[in-house]
Amino acid sequence: MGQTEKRTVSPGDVVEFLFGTTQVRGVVIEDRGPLGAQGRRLFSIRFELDASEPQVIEMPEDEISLVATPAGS
Amino acid sequence: MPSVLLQRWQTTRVRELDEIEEAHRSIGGSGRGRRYATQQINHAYAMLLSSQFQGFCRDLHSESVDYLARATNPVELRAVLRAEFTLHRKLDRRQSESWQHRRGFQSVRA
Repeated sequence: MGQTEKRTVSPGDVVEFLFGTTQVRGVVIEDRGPLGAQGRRLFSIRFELDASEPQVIEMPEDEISLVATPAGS
Repeated sequence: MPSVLLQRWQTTRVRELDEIEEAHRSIGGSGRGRRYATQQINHAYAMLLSSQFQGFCRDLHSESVDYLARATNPVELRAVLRAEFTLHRKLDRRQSESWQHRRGFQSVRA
């Protein structure tokens, strides 16, 4: 039996990351590719801190965790 | 380790620019004289070069921010720093002007 592959993050996925002292959730809108330090992959994520205007942030793959994927994918 | 975005420029981006240059050459030839038929290709080439350069600058900014954030402690500040550097980044949205390229990199200049 083979090992379960860790699913990579894709646009449309809901992810979670630490923003200050708060865990926030956002939606991946773009895979920027291996632009980060030591070639790590960066993702553009749209999130909202509160009821304010949505923000976009670029986060490396090792600082986000996958929460959910779009239905049907 | 060579920069990923430099490799991307030297491969993918240059290849795309070469394609339109090839189209220009195939229509206009390489002999002497003015090329009227290639006017629109010239305009397209200028736009493509501008967009490729903007994409390169955007990639460079992203890479720079990641290096800075990665070196930041405590860990809780990293995402906040990232958001601050990329908030309303003009390079993400529209055709940029030279001052926007300069402004985008002023915040990450050491």
